[in-house]
Amino acid sequence: MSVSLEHYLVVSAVLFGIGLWIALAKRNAIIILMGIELMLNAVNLTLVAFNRFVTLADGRPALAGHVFVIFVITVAAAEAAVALALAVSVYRTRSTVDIEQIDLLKR
Amino acid sequence: MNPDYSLLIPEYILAVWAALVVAVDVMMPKLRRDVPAYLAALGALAAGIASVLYIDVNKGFEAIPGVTIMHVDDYTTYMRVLLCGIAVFILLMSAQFVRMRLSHAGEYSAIVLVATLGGMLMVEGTELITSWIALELLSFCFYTLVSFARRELRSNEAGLKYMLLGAFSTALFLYGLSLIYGVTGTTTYDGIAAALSNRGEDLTLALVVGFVFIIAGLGFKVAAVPFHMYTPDAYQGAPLPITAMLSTTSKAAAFALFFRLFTTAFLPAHEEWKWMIALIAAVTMMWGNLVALQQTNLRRLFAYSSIGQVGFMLIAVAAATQDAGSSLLFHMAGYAVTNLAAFTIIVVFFNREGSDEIADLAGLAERQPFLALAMVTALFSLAGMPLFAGFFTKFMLFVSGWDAGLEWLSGVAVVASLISLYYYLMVIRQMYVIAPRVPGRFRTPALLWGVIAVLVVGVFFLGIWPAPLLDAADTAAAFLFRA
Amino acid sequence: MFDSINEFQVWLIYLLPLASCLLIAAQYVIPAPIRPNPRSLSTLSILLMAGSFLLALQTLGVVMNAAEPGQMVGFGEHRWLSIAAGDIHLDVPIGIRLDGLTAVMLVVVTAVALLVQFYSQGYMAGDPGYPRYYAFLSLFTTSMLGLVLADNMLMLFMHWELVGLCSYLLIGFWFANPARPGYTSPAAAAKKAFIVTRAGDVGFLIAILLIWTRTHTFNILEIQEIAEAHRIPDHIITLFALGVFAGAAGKSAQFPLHTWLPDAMEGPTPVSALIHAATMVAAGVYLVARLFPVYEASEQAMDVVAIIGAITALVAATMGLVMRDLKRVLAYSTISQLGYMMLALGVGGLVAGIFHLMNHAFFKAMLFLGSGSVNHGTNTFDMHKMGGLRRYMPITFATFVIGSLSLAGIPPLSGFWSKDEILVDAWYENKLLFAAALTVAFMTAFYMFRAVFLTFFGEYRGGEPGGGHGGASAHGDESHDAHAQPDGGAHAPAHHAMPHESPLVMWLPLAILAVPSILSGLVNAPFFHHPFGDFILQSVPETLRHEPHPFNWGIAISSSVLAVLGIAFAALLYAGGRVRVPLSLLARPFYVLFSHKYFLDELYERAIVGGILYQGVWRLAAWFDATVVDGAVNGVARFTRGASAIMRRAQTGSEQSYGLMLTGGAALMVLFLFITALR
Repeated sequence: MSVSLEHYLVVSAVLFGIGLWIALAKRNAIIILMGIELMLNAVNLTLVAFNRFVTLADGRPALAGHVFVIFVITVAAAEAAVALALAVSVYRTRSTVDIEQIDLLKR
Repeated sequence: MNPDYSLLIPEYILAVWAALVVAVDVMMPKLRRDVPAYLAALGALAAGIASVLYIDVNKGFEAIPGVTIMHVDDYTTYMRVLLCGIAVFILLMSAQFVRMRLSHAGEYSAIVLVATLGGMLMVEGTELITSWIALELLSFCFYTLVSFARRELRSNEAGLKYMLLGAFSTALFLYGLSLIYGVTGTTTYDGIAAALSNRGEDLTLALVVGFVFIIAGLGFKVAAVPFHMYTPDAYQGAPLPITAMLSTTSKAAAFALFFRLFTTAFLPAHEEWKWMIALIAAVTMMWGNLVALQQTNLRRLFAYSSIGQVGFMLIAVAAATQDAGSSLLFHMAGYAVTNLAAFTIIVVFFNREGSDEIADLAGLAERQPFLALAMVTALFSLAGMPLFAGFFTKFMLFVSGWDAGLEWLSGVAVVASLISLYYYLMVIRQMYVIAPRVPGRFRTPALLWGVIAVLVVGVFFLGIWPAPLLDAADTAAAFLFRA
Repeated sequence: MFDSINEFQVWLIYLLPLASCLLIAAQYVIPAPIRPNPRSLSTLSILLMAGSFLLALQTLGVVMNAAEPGQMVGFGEHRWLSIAAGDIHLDVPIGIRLDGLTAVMLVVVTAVALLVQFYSQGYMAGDPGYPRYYAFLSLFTTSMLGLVLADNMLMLFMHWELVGLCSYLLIGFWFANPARPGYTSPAAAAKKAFIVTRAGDVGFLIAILLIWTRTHTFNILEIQEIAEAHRIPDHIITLFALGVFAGAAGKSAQFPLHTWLPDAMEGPTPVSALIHAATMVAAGVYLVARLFPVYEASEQAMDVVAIIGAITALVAATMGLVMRDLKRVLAYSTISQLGYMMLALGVGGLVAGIFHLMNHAFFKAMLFLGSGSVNHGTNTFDMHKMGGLRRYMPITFATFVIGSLSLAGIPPLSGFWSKDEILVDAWYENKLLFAAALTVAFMTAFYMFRAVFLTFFGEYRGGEPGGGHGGASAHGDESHDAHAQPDGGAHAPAHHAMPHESPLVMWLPLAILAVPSILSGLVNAPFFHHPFGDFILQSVPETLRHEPHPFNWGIAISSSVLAVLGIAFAALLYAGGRVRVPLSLLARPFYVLFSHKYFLDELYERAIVGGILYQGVWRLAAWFDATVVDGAVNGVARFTRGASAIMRRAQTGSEQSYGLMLTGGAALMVLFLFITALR
């Protein structure tokens, strides 16, 4: 049995789901951030898989997927940097990063 | 063939100017803290003027042969000028605010410029990766700006919430993009459109989920219900001028991207997403305007009012016709002018009183009649009264929606518009009928007085003689529908 | 002079009040110490208004002198803006439509506006907002004239909204004043008027959108032609007509959107005379008349107009019977008469409706100004505190009685002629509507003379020393004293020994208005062969120009007799200076009428039943209006706020719930797409 596109897609969907669950269920801002990173990696997997299996109409291999993945990785790193900086800043003023307790703004 | 780098001069100006502002701030630590803002405003003005030079230019920026990642046309030019104009006003209203309440004035102004740059790239992008990177650039600037008042609990709470949800929605958006890429095999708008129109009648699961996730991601950026939840919190927590910027720059750029993506790349699948967006539009306008009724904080009121406006603008996206495009561009400009006027007034009030509660506006008509009168102008415009900008821009949106077969949606919009009048009148009542809590008249600083006056004149101008702007918007929108 | 008129002159009618508004607004830029004195500003405003009035007269003359009097005088359209997007071409023109209907409305609006501005010099004297008042009044007049002149729906709608805005500004003119006991505050009344009329405008705007997408024109004439030739489906015509009528019902205070008008009486009285009696509230009637061919093309729409009109006329008249406040009696009377006009239009009586609109504008403006004059003398609108004023205010008394007689429909005053025409039209259309109209005629005579007797007869009951109307000076906290002004201005209310006649600037407009109140009915009198009717009918296509129904002596006599009976009934009950009428007294008129008959006892019983009717049912109706109808209108607002409060709870402040909502929304959308797309 060879590994087909569907297998990759299912794995990445599951990965995305796990990330989603973490992001929605966990209360620690850092853990939520990790969940989001997982979702982004699921995206990367999808992109790479598509890139491997999709050929253009004129027979050339698609390249955009690879480029896309590199950008996603870069942006994800930047995102982590900004988010961690914000988390630190919140932690300094409130001594917690539990987002259930950060609800000054509401209604 | 090398890409035509001369197409991006306004962007270069903004980028270089942003670096310059930071450098000036670093090298001259004794500088008064409102100076960088004025300096940056000059940069935005310069970029705006440079953008005007591109009228009637119609050219793609090809990163590699055959892949047009950006396109400069009248649509781009219109939005570039609009975004630069917004930036000028945001920086002018920021100057005094930054001086009084924030540190790192240089970075602040530079990031405002970079956010504008991101917005401009979003407008130009005709390729998924480019558009997404531009979107991220804008978003990162806003994450930083919203939490700029680092020592204020509200500001960094709003920043963190906005950032986490933003990243979350980005992940959804990206997943959607990856699925669309999988189905079509390309990331350029034109390529996607070609692939979608060749795909026949079958609707694959990947495509459906892809559309939904893309709409969710963009819906988050423009603050459409149910992706809007961060909006009131971010509006309330952010430094005030940034709230104004969130409601103008962020919204205008995201809508420009939204409209371009859906009317060029996804137009062949219009029937599939039309109803989805129409439904979101209806829910958004009702939700925003209804919840606004209960607000006691001016910024939250404006947050919900802007959500209501998003509902109106989504009519145009759902309709996806050329006159919907021109009314969208037209409405954006009218809305930007009106909202900037309102927020400049709130900034002046906040600088003086340190409050943004509606209750504290009591007696403003006595304390500072000019501000109260200008506020009334802005509110009537938002409520869509004739003579003011809002009437005609909204009317055009309703007409274009009705014409595109979305009669029910335009009907809902008319009702939502009625509801909005109610809470605007509450603010007016507060300013005119209720006795002031704090006695004493005060003066508006001359510069901000001038800014408000210009914007108020703009509101009336667009209300009485909308033809020039509408013509421009129409020419701009026509570019998306050349084929 | 009356041979021709160029377009610019017609535009001047519109532009002169606008200029006055802008000039007054501009003087606020000048530093306070060297601003022109308020008097000179009002003089300027009045002069410009007079110019506008003269031009309107000239226009009327030109339209009358045309080859076919009343036919449309065409001017080209001007492109205001236009966009051509794809295959859709949206042109928004501005242009004037000038025909018999327009010309008459122009004269009515400018005449009443001129007199009201003149009168306000006395009534508003000394008010710190005096210039602002004149600016608003001028802006209102401009908007109203624009509404009348418009030849396309969009221009009409814009001015329609603007008159609503001006009405908001003017009702709330004394926005800083608190509510007087038992009534709403001016600010709340203004807001209510704005919101309720705009609720009707939802229908109007939807109608405009509907007709534009179907016909791709805003031009009223073209829409009329299309509707007449049935070039669009009938249900579209009906929907359009009903949508427009929703707007008209809001502005013209038709049931159940009438609740704002009585509250609107918290505004200055001259404003009530101009906006809430003569012009703005008549705009709804004008609108239906303007689109009359469209209504004629839809049976159902006509029926709705007629029935709503009849209900409004009846309900409001019963309300008028029991009010204590003189202005509120007039307000309910206005609603009732507007219902009458709508009823006329609904039964096909275009001429009768517009004829009554014109007559009503004159005598009701006079009655309102008269009530303002009474307030000037007594500082109150409470009729229980008036009485005997005929000795102190003879001119006000005389004009008020003329107006009341005209309104009651006593021949040969103007109200008689138009009311008679409406009755005749109703008679030939539907006997039930006729009966309703006749009943209203009787009630009108009764409540007007109840007001006359309570106000002007008997002994003076003291007025109100300091308090009184919303504008009274006794209240208003220190910081707001700048705004708080006595309704009636410079008057020193504290030493109010005896009421006295108002100054010349106030009684002169009353005297002037008395002339058309007596005579304006003659322009369409049957023995002059209905010249007014022919004039108005030229504005509609030939197929709709019905011959007027012949004068019907039976109807004329019965309505006159009923009116006299109503007056007599009121005289018997209230002429003695009584304020509250005991039950037994209510039987008196019956007693007087029937005492020589044999079945006296039985009649007594009936009289008591009548008494119960009066005390019970009518009061019940008043309660119903205040509680149920008004409650329903408020209920919608309360429901909206309630929904808002619940929806607000979704905003918990927790990032996770936001994310959940975001994801849930996306999931719902996937589901939705599957259901719709994969059906």
